[in-house]
Amino acid sequence: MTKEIKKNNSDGVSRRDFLKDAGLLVSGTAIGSTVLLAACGDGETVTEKITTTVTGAGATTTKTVTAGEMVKTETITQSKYVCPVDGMEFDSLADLQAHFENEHGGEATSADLNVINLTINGKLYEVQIEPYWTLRHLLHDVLEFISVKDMCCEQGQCGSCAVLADGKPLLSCMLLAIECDGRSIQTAEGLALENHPLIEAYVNNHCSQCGYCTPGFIMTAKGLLDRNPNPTADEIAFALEGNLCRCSTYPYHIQAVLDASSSL
Amino acid sequence: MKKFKHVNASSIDEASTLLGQDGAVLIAGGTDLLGALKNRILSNYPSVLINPKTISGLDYIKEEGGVLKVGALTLLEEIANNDIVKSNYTALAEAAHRTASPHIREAGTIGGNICQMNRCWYFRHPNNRFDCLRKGGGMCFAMAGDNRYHSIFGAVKACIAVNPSDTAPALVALNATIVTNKRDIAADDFWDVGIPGSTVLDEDEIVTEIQIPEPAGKSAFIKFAIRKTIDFPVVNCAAMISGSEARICLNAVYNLPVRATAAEEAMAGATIDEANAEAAGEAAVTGASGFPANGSNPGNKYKIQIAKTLVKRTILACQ
Amino acid sequence: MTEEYTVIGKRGYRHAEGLPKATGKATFNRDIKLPQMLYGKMLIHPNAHSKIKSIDISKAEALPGVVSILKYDDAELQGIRPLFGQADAYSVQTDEYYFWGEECNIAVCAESEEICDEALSLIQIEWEELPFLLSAEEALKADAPLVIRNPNIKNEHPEMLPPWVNTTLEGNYLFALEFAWGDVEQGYQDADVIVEENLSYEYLEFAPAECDSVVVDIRDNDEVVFYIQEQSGVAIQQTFRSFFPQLPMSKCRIEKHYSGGTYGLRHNNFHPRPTLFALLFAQKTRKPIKILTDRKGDFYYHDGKIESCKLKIGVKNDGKITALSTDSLIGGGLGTTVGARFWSKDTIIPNFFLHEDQLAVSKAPVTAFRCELNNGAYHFSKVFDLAANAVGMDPTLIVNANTRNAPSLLECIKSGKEIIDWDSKWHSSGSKQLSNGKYHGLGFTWTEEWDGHHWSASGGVRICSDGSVLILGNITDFGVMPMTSVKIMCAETLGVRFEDVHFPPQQDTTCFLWEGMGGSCGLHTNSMVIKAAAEKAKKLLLERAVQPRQALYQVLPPAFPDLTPDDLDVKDSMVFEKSNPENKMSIPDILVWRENPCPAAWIGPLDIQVCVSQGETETNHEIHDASIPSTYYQAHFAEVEVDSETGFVEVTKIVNVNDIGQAIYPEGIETQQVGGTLMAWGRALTEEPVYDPMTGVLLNCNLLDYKYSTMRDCGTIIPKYLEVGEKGEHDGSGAYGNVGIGEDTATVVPAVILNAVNNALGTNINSLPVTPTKILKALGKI
Repeated sequence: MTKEIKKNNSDGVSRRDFLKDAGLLVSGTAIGSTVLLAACGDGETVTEKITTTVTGAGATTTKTVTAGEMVKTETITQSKYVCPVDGMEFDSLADLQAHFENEHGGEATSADLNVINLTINGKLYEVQIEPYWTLRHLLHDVLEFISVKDMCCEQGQCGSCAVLADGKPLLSCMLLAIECDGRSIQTAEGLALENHPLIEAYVNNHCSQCGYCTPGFIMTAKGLLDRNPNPTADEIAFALEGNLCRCSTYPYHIQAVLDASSSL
Repeated sequence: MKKFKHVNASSIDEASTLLGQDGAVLIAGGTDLLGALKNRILSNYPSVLINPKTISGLDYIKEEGGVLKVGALTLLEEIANNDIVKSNYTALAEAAHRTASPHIREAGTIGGNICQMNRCWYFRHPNNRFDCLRKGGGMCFAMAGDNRYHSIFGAVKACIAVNPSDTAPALVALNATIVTNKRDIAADDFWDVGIPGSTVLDEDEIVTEIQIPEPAGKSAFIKFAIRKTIDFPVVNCAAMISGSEARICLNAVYNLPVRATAAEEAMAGATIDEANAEAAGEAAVTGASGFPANGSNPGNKYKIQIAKTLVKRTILACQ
Repeated sequence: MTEEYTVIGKRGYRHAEGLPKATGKATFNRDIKLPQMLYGKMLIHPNAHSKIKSIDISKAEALPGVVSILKYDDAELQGIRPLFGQADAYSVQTDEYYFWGEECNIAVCAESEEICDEALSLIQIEWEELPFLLSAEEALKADAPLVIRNPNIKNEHPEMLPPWVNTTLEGNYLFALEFAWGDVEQGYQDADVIVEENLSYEYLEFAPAECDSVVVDIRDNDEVVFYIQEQSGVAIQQTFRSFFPQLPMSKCRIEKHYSGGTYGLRHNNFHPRPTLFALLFAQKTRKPIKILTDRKGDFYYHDGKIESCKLKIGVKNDGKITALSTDSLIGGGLGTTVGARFWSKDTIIPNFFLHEDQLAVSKAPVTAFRCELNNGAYHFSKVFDLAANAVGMDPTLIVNANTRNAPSLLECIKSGKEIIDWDSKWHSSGSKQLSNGKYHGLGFTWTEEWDGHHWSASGGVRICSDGSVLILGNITDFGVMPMTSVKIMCAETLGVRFEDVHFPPQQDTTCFLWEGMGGSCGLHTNSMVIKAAAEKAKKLLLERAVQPRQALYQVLPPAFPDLTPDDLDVKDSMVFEKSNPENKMSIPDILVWRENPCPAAWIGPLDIQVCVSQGETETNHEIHDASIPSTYYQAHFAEVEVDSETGFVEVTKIVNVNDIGQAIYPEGIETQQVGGTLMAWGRALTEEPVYDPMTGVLLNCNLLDYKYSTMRDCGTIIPKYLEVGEKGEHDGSGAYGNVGIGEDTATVVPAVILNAVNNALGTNINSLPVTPTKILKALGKI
């Protein structure tokens, strides 16, 4: 049974609404596609496809529920795929590829069409991008992961846009989105879904003043704890040294990471 | 950023061919290039970025026949944390460790670090506000401007910017060879003052590997920066001293890494002690002039004092 | 009277703003994205002073995705009045600009930020470059070219300037001021030693985490919604009312989301153009628009620079200062001044003369950056350190001879000396070399604690019938943890649990605005408002508790039938009989809360709701009276190790002691002390805007070259707060005996670091920031 519902984003269905369901999701790397996941359960499959239109690139969300195993995941695709040659818009990558083959004489891979797949906070995204987009632009401006901040340092000096890319804390403003095809990204929104002990430790240690830099710090700290669950205060300071905080909350971060480490 | 195309290369040869096109540039870690593109500092904006990271086998650290081989796309953080590098090629490990910040080191490569453009604030000013010599313009704005971070050994091709790399002096001190798709280049000969580049590489030439003979003695690297992290060096120094040989290199003091040959001569075969190191430090800055204070510009004479001190301390660290 | 509080001043309350920030869910202004939203950017002036000779926007207009371009001579901009601010005027019709980085009256509106950037690069302008001046000394010269913007504007609004400001001066003068008492010449004759020095202190750039942005959305009912990064919403309403007389303040709604670092007045007086152009674009396109400033365009606000301050101090061998005269030259504006406030309020120096000239230069306008007392505090600190050095005294002891020795001050000094172990560590200048070869130095300074004063504010409290409490009033969260503090004060006064008190969602700003004209004294002001409102609400609650309770179809007996409100009190969200605490009832029961009422038969709100406005709250204007002695003080201590070969300064320890009267939110106080101290590290050692002498362009307009502290730059910071005051009671002028904390350490600590450096090296450096060059020069090495 497949039903399609078309809604406008301004009606209140947004990406963030879907995030709330995350407890039921298969989080993970290398999720193939809805087809694969649908195949992994033997019960009735319900696919709910919701098209949202936002300024710029839109996003389509496909929820797949395999009733037999209560497995549910999402592949988030765009609502518009634009032909790089003639600018025509299509509802799916397959439609665009078919168009390309028919009209422009030749097969077009997703790479040719600047379509990338990346996992963000456990969900697979298929998005058409521009080659000059940074990962930060894709995450924050297009997909609205608002935790991915930007002090406009422009030269990778502040750490506020740090996300985990395949587990490593990297600056999303210093990565081209097109080079992130196939990577797994985690943002502070994803950390919140995990209810990671860093979050409570940050609140309880009064780490945020204006708070703009906090998500960058917390993702960098997550990267540290993933590779070293019991860091010393010095190791924490060295790991977080690339994150700037104009309110200068620095010492509190060290204590918070120590606290989080002890409750891991 | 302005629009550009992006091509994943599958081989060095392909990348080299692609780089031969007009408007093509190589993007390794991207931590230098993207900043330059975002701020539109250059008069010519690249039209296509060639990505070599899709070429396999450019990311490794191995010791073969007494030579350390480091793939050009090896991340600075990997070099900084590698046990072999840390114990036998200390100057390089420390230089990589002191480069920029952890995030940058996780993305930045050794190949990129040695090819980075200079950090002169006139050159880097957004929107090409100062169309300087290194962009093909007619003048060096730093010469009559604020040159507190600039060269203390005069200009090269009338430009007084400095080479900002932390790993460069370590590679010079360790007598490294830079291997490209076309040739082997001694580290001593690798850097140059180009428009806008800072190496002797041809447009279609790509660094593939760094080779370092196992040093006979200890090596060390010391960096002086305004803050303990993030910053580029005000002055840095690397040294490798074995009984008969001393290789000492200063950077961020001139447009090219500077072999402190007078200091090397002073230390060759000499005991590493405070008095000898101090004398070598003095010798290293012989001929340094710097710029005097002028109005709001404090000049850069302080860098001579710091360079002298770093040479002394780096030598002592090789004990 | 000292009151015993149950919530106020206690540790362990949850940081109210912490969770949305740690989870990344806090929506900052730059994160706002509205349906159909367009983007805008302003053209940044590339020169220090120039005028447009010719302009061609045709290529930019032709770029696909460009929606609109507005510039100074378009019809939409005509008739808009210039904005008065800092004795300066921002006209939106002008084509002449006065500093590098100024936002010109040229803006692009397009479908994306990238298109805006591209369009700006396609605008072709021929500039007529005009003379510029980078120093006040040059600006003072008789033959200096005029770099002041609209010199006559300062006389148009005399009521907006302090009475002691002389604005009648010609040329590039912004203003001059003078204060004097006693007879300084006589004082010098009485002195044993005369010290003459010249101080300087660089401009300090805000460099906030979040660069400016503004979103303007015109709703269907013609309500104009501004999403801004600013402390004061009222000020923006006023600003736009003055730009557009047809836009009443009541139709102008301000949404202040989380703000990524403010530290002072930003938007309204100094930076009105982006907001104005956003409004014009919104009017023109009927779509929401977001104008973004990037980093190079955000070096727009700084503190004033003490270019020179000639000091002459007369001091007796016992440390008594007999005379002080100072003559300062400041490149600036009203936002900052050396001033006389500290000298008159905090000392008993008998003979004093102060002259100050403030001149316009070709740099961004000056405003108060955490805070307007930076220059004054530095000036004050240096005089005492110089005087102590001149007579060979321990600087902590010279205080006694020159102040009325207020109990708060003595206690701050005593406490800090104990913590840093001053008496065993103190040594004469340049006399202690450590085994690592570095020189050890100790520094000390002190000033009054900012007592806080009372700006305008209004707000309210609603006790919902389910027992939860809503604070009515929007507060800008720009980093001083104001929501937690206000919740604590509200819980205390109402007698409810901290966790029962809530702020409305950030977006809901239609009700009341707090914080008046700025961030300064926010807690102080809000304490007045929240206390008055909570007391009023509590009174109504207790009245309800003794009255019959109206339920849906019947009237229930009073909760406390035979008692009067005076017999009752509230604690832990329970109303109880004071003489019999076991006789108690919850707030929902008193307000007849039902889990499942019938909506159709709803009889109206059972909630209690009150509000207060300015005038209903206690006012204290004593702070403005410079003749009234301060009662609250602070003292700071620094320990440094200086590398005499490279000039590198390692700050190993800072001790902050602040007498804050009554602690409201202890953890919040300490984070302000520590954060301010780390900010002061940069002010003392690294922060310095660098202008190109040839072009007047700001060279270090990024976060790499404008350097403030990182995680690893400063050693241990030990924050300590005291509650001493004048009589050992909580008698600060805030509603709970509290005084301020947010601005203090950032302002006062820079000088203590310099004092410690001089103690380490035996040098006499009088200039901030203290750089390797200055140190090596003072040591005679360069």
